[in-house]
Amino acid sequence: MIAIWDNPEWVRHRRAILRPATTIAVVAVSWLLCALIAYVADTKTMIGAVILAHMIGLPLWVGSTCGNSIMQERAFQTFDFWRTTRLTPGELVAGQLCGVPLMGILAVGSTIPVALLSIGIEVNPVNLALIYIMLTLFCVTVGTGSLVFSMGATPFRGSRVLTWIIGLYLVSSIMAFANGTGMGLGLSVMTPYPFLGDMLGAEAGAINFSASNFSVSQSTVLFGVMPVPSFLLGITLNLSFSGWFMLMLSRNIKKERHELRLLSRWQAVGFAVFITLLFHALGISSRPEHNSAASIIQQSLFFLNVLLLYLIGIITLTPPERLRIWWQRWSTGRSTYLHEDGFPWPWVVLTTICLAGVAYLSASISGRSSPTLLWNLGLVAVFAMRDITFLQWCQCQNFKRPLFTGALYLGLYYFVVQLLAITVPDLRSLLAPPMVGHLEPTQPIVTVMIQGLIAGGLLHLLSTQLKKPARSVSPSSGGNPQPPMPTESSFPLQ
Amino acid sequence: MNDIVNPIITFEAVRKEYGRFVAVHPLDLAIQAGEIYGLIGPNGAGKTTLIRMACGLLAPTSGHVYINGIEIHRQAEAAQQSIGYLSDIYALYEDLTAWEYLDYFAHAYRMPPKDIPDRIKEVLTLVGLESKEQALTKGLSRGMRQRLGLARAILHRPKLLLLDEPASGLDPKARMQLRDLLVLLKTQGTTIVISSHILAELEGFCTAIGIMELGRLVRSDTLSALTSVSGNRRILTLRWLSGDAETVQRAIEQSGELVAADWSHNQVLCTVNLTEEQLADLHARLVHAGVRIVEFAEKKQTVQDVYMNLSRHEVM
Repeated sequence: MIAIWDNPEWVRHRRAILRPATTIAVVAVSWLLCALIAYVADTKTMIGAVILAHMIGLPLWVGSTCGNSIMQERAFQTFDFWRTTRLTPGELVAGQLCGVPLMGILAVGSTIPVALLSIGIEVNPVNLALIYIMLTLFCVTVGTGSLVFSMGATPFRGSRVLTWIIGLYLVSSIMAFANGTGMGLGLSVMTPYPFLGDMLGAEAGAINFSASNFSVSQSTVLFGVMPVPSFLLGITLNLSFSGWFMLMLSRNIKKERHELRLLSRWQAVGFAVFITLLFHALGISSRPEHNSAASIIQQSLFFLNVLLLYLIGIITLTPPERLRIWWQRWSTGRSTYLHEDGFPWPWVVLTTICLAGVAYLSASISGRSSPTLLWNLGLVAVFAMRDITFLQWCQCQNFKRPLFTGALYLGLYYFVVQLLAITVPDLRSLLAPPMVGHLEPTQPIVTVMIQGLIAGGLLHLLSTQLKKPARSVSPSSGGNPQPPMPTESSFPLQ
Repeated sequence: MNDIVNPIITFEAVRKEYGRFVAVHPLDLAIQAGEIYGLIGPNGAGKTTLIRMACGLLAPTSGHVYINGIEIHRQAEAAQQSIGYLSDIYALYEDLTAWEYLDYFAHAYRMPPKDIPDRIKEVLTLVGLESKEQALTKGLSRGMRQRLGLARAILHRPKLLLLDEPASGLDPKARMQLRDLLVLLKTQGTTIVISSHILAELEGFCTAIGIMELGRLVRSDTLSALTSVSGNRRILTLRWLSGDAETVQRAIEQSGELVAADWSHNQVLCTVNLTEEQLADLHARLVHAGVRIVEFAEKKQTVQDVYMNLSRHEVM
């Protein structure tokens, strides 16, 4: 691995972004803004505003610039040359992560001395250092996540979506600690905000310097049933998430968009288990005092499981040409059914088993055991298998945007089911997955039978499709059937 | 193309599908080191797909591609060290100077750092951009950008240069310069694979040609083998001042076999099966019959003739 200062990708960005004129302009504007705030308010307000701007501005800048970078390489057609170099995926990611947001890093770096002034006004230097360490780690997580997003997104529309997501997350994190919970979605410990919260005063942007006895390193949160130092949990979560993102990047950063497969199938199951374990631990740690709050947590975890099942299903969809080759091999006994290029449905089943195991474990620990939750999870798995098989079938139909088209059809189906359920309420539990409440004892079996039959039918349809040979047509020749191949003797001489 | 003893690139049963469409049918091809191999075919024939698979940019649905004996899809970075690649449509990093652009790729190709400044100067001189060393790439003309792209592709002294429609959008003078540069690189030992749907671009400097059509490699051979006449089949052009076409036709049929003919006023373009002796007989017969010949020529087959014989699509 090349040192970052010798990393060609980083050097490229440094040369392109930090031209002398730009560097001087960025530093000058940053200092001018600090001077203006100090002029209209006081030094303390200025220091508080600068620290807050660092904490909010840098992750947003990192997210939006990294979220654009790979999609821009594709759009400007520099991506191919990038891929033919000997730079390893790790070097590319490191260069991108440190190079793409360089202007934001420069702006923060040039105003760090202002933040350091806070030490002179009763702020514990260890606290300040820990907050900036957390900011750096959070930016790495946001940056790697944004690069993953950038690999698959299309230009411009994608970057706007990403900026919204990061913005909403930052706002929700800030609101979480502002409301005094200190946890919010639980993941706010990944950000520097819960620690910063103890230093913020009532006035926006002003640091409560009287709270100098607060120590970031001693603050703890309940994770599962154990109190864990929040700083340690924050570091672990940031490292875990950026580790998963790095894995996705290293597998895919040099691939074409249509060849992307974020994780292998076993890794995808592992990712689902990691996410569900994390949220169960955070959910348990909430320890609600009211039954209604407990129910909301349970439903949230159930929704999370549903999302994960569909997410894993989508991640494990196989490109049609690879599915066809696997089918040919499998039908002649040269491959296994659980192969990386096989049908995705067995992996939905495997994920369901893992998620149910975690849910059972969590329920046992928290003493909120609920068999209905497990039943419902099983039922959702049948629907997920059906829907993912349908999406896989759509992928083999040569639609222009198969996943989007398939999702539209599914959306339409569920919309019609909801309409029908207004007049025939019983239909809903037969034709759509359960979300809340209890089921009648007979319904699950009937639902499983009906949906199992539909999924089986779809699989049969898909298998029939795979038996047909691929069309001998070049994609740019307009899809006409191929004429018999000419031979030398078939042409009269002119 | 038979008897390849030292292939630099080998395709083994390579097939590429996009969804339900087959872009490249199972294809076997080996290209001899030191060749300039022209890949011709209409748009959509599969040339770009083949070149992208050879670069490791696209994974084949089945089959293997070897560069210098290394399977590119297993050891991409090792194999890519031997490859220089240039596509028809691409952008440069607009906010870098020409020198910085090449320096980035030199480091990315892991060239020894002490060799880099000299090599950059060398390639900039080779492509005629030495005066633009410190110019931002966004200020370069189309031809200059293409030359800078080529400089990038040859910077790390690749053994194999893969060029996908490199002359598209270039003016005639720039095309001539590109051709001269490629010939120079060949003399330095670089193998070049160049794709085009413009036959005139490739004729004259390619040493071997592959013709692609609807994802199939219809023919692949050395230029001399491709354009040589098989057996006694010849294309003749005859033009005369006086004498009728029937006399000429009779003379040809008496001398050998007339395969096909395109008659017009006092001239014919025909395909015949004649030995050299029969060809001399034909000439004598025509003179004897009182046909006043002004042109009696055997037409050499061109790549375009071969292509038109094999292809059912129009080419430029």
